[in-house]
Amino acid sequence: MIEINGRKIEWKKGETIQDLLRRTNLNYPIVIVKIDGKMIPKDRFSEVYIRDNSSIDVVPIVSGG
Amino acid sequence: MDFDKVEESNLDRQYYFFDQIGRLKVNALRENIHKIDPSIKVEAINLKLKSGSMEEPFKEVDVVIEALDNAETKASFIEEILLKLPGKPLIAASGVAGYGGAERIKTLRMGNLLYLCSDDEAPSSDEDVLVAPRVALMANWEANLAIEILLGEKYD
Repeated sequence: MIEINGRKIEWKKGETIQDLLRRTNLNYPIVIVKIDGKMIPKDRFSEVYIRDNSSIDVVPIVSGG
Repeated sequence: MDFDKVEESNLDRQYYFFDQIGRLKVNALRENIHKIDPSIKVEAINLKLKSGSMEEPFKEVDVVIEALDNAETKASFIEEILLKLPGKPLIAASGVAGYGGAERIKTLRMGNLLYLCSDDEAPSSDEDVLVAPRVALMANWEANLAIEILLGEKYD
């Protein structure tokens, strides 16, 4: 099991951050992703595999100011 | 810190006056703060952040407060500060555009040092207006968090 934004979901072997964002419909154009409190740069979303029991925070960022 | 000049379109929500149009924002803002109280110490830096060295100017500050406009720049800034200045508290905002919906604004705490003032239902400024009430709400939300952090009430 993994936890994404406080919700528990099934862990899938060989799933990258990019795959996970797509599976959970969190694939907004611009997001901040932290895994177990560690910031993941966006250029690594397609290379970093999700480990079982990870806790993932995903927050969309939109323009304005 | 800013690199922009005051434009007429800023006046509805940013703290400048009509006769300051065309002036550097950092100088105009310092002047306005000093009109309120000349004894306030302001370090105004006219600089455009460059991708790859965004953290440089903030190495010595107590709290970093993000107030950028473009989502991509916001995300790169958050990324660079968190990765290159570990231990530095960062306050950022997302979802500033539009009007109404103040009750949706909340503070998301991501890890120990990132506080994101967020309204995840808010539109992007590419698709909605930017108006004073929401911009001010978010800016004050960030400032309010900064006080808590500076007073040491936000650390575990």
